Amino acid sequence: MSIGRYAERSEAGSSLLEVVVGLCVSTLVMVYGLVVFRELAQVVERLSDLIGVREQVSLAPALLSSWTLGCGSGLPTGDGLSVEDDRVSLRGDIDGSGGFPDTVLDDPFEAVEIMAGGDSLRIRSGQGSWQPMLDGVAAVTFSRPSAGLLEVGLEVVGRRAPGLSRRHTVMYFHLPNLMEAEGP
Amino acid sequence: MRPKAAEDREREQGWVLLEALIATVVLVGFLVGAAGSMGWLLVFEAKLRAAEDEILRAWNQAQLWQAERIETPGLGPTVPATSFALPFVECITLEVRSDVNWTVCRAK
Repeated sequence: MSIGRYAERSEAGSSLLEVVVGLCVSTLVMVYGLVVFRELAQVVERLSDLIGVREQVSLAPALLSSWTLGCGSGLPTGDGLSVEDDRVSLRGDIDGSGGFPDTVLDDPFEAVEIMAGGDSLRIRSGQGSWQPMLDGVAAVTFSRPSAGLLEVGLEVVGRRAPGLSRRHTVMYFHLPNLMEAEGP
Repeated sequence: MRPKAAEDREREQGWVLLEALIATVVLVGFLVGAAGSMGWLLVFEAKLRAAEDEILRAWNQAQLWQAERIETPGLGPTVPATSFALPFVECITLEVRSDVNWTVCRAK
């Protein structure tokens, strides 16, 4: 009996020790799991930002070329494009009554202005209101290296991790109408 | 009685060992899995950052070429416009990716 009692006491102590050790190990595993989960969430946020920025940058040429292609069309030589540092005006007689150019720039998107405002690239037609065009644009610069070329510099940032997903990119737009006006 | 008790104790010890082994394997698997997932995501992010925007680069090359700001030999072969078959059109093929080519044409 006495041996059995000792054994029971010894086993009871072991069980308590096992429970304490088990709790400690479980706590450590849970903390580690939470740390890993937080790190994974941060990585996923950064990836989401990066993909978003690339998406905006990839969209830019397709959107901007809609306005640059008709720039200078049907206008006197040298007219059609005004470039400031952070703003550009594009004009072209591309529409009119019956769908044909009418020498008047009063139809929608025949005279557009593009500039950065807030956190987006914005566009307006004539004296209309500004509309967002691309999201996440912190800054934009315009320059004209030659008569037939428009250079656009975009500073695009993600919303969640702006410091890590900031991207500066430069893109060129060929202006065929203005290039012809440049001559040989 | 004693041999049976000893036998029971040995059996219990065996089970404890097995449980400890299973717990260890599960824990190690969890740690390795978490580390592997994290590593894979970090590698993916590094690749995404390192990769240049091929389509944008090709776009710029095409625009600059059309505006005659760059030399065509640096971009790739100038090929005849077989699809148009017009003598006053010339085209250039730009390799956007290894599996994607863009052919851009302009008037001569």
